Amino acid sequence: MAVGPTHYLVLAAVLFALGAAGVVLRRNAIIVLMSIELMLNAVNLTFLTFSRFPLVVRRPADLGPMMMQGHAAVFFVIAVAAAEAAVGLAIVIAVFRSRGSVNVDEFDSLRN
Amino acid sequence: MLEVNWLHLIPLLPLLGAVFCGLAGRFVPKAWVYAVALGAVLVSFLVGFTAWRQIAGGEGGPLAVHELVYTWFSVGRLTVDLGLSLDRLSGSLVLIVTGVGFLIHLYSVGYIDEDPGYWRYFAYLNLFIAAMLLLVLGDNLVAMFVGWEGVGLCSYLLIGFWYEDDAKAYAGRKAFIVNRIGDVGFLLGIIVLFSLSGSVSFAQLSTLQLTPFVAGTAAVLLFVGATGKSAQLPLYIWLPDAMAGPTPVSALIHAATMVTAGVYMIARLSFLFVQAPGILLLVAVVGGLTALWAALIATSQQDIKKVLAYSTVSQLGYMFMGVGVGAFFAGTEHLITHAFFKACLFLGSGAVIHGLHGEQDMRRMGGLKRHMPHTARTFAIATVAITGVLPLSGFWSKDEVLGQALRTSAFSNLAMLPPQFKGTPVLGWFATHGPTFVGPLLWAVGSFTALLTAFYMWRCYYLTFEGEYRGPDSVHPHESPWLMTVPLWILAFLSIVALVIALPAQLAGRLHLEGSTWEHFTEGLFRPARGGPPREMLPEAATYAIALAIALAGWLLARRYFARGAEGFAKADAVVARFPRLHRALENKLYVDELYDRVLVRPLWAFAKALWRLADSWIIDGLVNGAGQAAFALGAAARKFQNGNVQRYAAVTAVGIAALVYVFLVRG
Amino acid sequence: MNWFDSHLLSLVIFLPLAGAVVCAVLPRGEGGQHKAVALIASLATFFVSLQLWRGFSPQAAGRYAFEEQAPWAPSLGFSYHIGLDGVALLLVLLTTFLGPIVVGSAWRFTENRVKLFCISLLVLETAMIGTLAALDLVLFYVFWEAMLIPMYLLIGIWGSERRIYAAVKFFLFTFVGSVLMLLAIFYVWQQSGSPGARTFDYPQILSSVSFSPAAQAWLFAAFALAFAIKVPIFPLHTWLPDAHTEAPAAGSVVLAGVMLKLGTFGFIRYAMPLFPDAARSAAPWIALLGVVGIIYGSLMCMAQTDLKRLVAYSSVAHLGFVMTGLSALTPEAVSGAVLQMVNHGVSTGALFLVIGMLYERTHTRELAAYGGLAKIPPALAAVFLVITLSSIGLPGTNGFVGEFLILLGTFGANLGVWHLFGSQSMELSVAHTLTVLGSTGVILGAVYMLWMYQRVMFGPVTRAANRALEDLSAREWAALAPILVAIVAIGVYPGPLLTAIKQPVDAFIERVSGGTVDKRVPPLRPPGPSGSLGPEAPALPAAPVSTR
Repeated sequence: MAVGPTHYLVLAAVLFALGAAGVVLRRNAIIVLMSIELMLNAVNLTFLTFSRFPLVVRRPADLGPMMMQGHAAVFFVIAVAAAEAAVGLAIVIAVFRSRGSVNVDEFDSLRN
Repeated sequence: MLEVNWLHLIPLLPLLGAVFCGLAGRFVPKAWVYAVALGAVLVSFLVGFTAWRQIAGGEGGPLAVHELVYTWFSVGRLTVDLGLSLDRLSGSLVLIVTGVGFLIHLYSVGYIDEDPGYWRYFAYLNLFIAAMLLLVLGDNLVAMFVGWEGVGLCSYLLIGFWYEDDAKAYAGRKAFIVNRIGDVGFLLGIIVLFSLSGSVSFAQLSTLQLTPFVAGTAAVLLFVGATGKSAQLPLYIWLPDAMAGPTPVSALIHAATMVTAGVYMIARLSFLFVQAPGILLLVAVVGGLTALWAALIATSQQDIKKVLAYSTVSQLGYMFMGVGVGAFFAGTEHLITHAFFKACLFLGSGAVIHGLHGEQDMRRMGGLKRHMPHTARTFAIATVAITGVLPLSGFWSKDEVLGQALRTSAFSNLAMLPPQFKGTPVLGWFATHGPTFVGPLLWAVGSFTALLTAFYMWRCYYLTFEGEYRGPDSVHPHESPWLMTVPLWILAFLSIVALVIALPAQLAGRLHLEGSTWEHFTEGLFRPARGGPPREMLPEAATYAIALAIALAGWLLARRYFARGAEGFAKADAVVARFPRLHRALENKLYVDELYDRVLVRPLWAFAKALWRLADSWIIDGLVNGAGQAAFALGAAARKFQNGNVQRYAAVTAVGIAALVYVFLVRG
Repeated sequence: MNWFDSHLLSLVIFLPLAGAVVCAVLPRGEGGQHKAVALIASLATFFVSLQLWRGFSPQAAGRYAFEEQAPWAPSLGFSYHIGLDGVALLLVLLTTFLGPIVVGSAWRFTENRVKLFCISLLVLETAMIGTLAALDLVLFYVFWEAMLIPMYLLIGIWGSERRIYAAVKFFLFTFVGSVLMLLAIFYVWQQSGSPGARTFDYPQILSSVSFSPAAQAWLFAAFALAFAIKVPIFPLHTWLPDAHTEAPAAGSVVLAGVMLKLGTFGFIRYAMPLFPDAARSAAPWIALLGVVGIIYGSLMCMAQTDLKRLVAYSSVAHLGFVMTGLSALTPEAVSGAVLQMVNHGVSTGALFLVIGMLYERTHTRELAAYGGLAKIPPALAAVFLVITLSSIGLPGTNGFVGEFLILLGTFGANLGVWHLFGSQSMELSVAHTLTVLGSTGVILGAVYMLWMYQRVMFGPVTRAANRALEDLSAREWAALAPILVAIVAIGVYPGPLLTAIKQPVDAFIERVSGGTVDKRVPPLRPPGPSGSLGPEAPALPAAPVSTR
């Protein structure tokens, strides 16, 4: 069968769902960060898919190597993901140093 | 109508005197206070006399002297002026208020001299005179009401003069509040009359024509006011307690002037009351009942001032009887004579109390005529006047009232029962004749009351002045200073001389004194009651003879028990022993105060407290605080969402976004 | 000076605020300085406001004296628009009159945080005068809300034991009503014209906007709720006893003296004229609530053991009279109500002043701790008596004229009939019934006031410590003397006040009752069933009834 946009999108959706599940369900803060990365990568895949297989084709020039908006977006996302991973890990390490644990269930001092 | 611009001096001078004594009295020499207080009343009397002479002249003179001082306030349809009008009725009352008032001021100098609050006393006394003059002179209902409440205020201040004693302060408060209950009736009466006519002035109201029902509504409301001020049933309870004040106060306020305000008001509004004959009937009946009731109580009192207090209530009943049967001149005539002899009696009792250093119980008096000859003699003269054993002033005026009651036709047009009853045996008589029997009935009641009056007044005299002195040895009774005895003699003299105004017309004619009777003097002032000519009952001479006989009987009865020393007392005790409960009831004032206390006063206070606890604290505040508690509870429930778990927050956010996406993209 | 004359009203409004700014700038620590500044500012405001009285002349309907207008947000439709009519003028004068007295009453009292105290008092005065002068709904609302914070501070910081509870209760209670009023104001704005031409300006709305009866009902309810809480009308009154009891003397004086009147002022200026149909139908009920307030308030007074709480409930009773008078919609009743607003401010403010003086000496408000004081500070006792008599409406004092006019006017009001037990034949005139019931307030007033006076002043001295109480100092005389003068002057000569309010009262009645005020004096011979059906009475009797 021909691998079309649908397949990519499904893969991206599955990856996103797995990442979301990980954010909500995992107890280890580092695993949560990893899940967030997974979600971001799923988003990247979606951008690339639509960049490669645009929804609406108005001019023939829309097809082909000149259609780059999606790719540009991916660069932004990768940069932001890197920065966010760095800051997030720094916070987790600081919390670990003061609390001695990376279990998110224990970080609830912002409750009433 | 003579317009002048100096009439306002009459109430103004005592008012200024009051202000001076009240503000500066503590700091200036005593003599100044006395001079200002007495001087104000004296000058007021002279001004009043000047005005009185204008209207008391023969035919052709003005009927009234009038002054419009200023327009107090004017809103919408209502214009209330401070207007003063001195006609023959109000002028004579002005003379009495200022004249007797001056004598009492003079007496008070002797009486209150040693009390540290003397300046306060004279301030209040002057203020009272000012308010009473405003009441009498006011040419409209509201001005009269100002004076009306003003005398109520002064009464409060003077009765509670020795306020360190809670009971005395309470007596003052009781007087004010009971008066106020009456005042509300007065106020509503004014409002009703205004709503009918757009005016409150007597001159304009007197041209009103009203149906009996409407006139009756206004009249009964005003009568309630009169009942309160003039201590009739059921609002008389403040007057006996008012004896807590200094005795000259009792003499002035509660004998000679303030309590007569109700009678004056009804006489002034004769044009209204004659349009409501049913209310006149009420007035007369209440007057008669009060007279009898109070006289019964007076027979068993041991405190000399209480005897005189109940006597006042009783005599006021006579006055109301007089105006109630349409004989306005008779009621006001008795008002004038009563002022003289009652003031004399009260001042005499004050002299006794002063001479005994505070003793008021007659059981510890006796034989005082040897120690206080002036007091005794004047007291005796006044007692003769009030009881009528000799034809002094009280005899003629009281029996004028009774004669008018006997022969009145004011109730002839009232129907007691519907005409269907006319043929029936007993009720038929009532259906045919209506309440005309009330007149003769009142005459009978009044005559019996006269018997009681003679009895208790002579009992009072004998117990106090005759026989042996029964008081403790430590007390040495003495006569009062001249400042106190001179007014006594003047008042006693007036009690005798005033008989001239009360003579019946025929007798006056034979003595060539027709012009000086009160009846002649006030001719044309009062609206006649409708009902026709007076009814023929007993001939005049017969009624006077009966009255004289009754008075003598009462005197002899009293003499039998109380003028014969120990054996007389023993006979009296034997009589009392036969009716122990009746005697105790009479001694305890027929338990009226206790009744009011249990039925009205205490339940009201208890209700207020219960209402506060229930309605305000429990229900309303409960709702308010409950709303606060509810807000707290909601907050506590909502707080459960914030458990600090970031993953939970993220999950909720994701679900929310999914829902929003669904709504906007799919449902549009 | 031209600028002075044309900005007189703004000057009066903001002079206290200027004083507050000066106070804020002065360093803390010197308590006397701040009090002096406050006193000077309030006195200056009073004297400037006298110029308002002198320069006042009654305006035609819809026009206001001392009008000033400056644009604020033209696109949204609100501006700085102020002006006075007769009623507002009287209340402004009352505010400025009581201002220095309030400051003087707190002279010895406040020890801590004097600076904040003075600032609060001055800001409060500005807010109150502004509320009275505002002619723009937004401006009115801003000033209305601005009153809450200083009062909250006054109660909460310098009050007695339960002050936090009382302050919070006061704030929330009043605020709830105000918020609903804000919604109503927005709705009114929205109805005032097409988008872009909408306005918050009160005279414009009054003359050009009309609402459907259904809308009027809700709008009136929203406005009335806010004002009813402020007055306070039964059953929304429970914040008042707590606020008064816990507040310091100065706070109580200003609360009772002026703030409560702003509620009634709101009725007569905003709630009723803006929504006349709803007001007309609600009038009998408001009158009924007024009478209930009179009787209920008086009964509550009789149950109290705390002096200030007693006087607080007496406020409920007095303002019940005012509300009844306002709802009666006759010239006499409404004039009496406005006059009584001023009278209540003077009398009850004075009562709290005197009680504050007593409290300064004895440090208790319990009635049981008093007794027999009349001889000990005699001047205080005498002044207290005069103020008590004014409160119960003794003729000659200011209270009588107002109460009398209200009762008289309510009797003649057109408030409809109640059908007893639902039957058509048994009718009770609402006006007559309410007048009779309301007049019992006259009796009850005397009952609780004289009882209170006796328990405090008469009888034997109950506490030995009371024997050493001082009499009035010069400062206290300075605060009380103007009040005594006012009591007697208004009682004897209320003419100028009544003249000043005549025009706005008539305009108010015309607008709300939808008809013209009947100024004709009816003929003395009333037509109809109560008329000349009796037999003719002769002009002067021909002969007296006599037995001779």
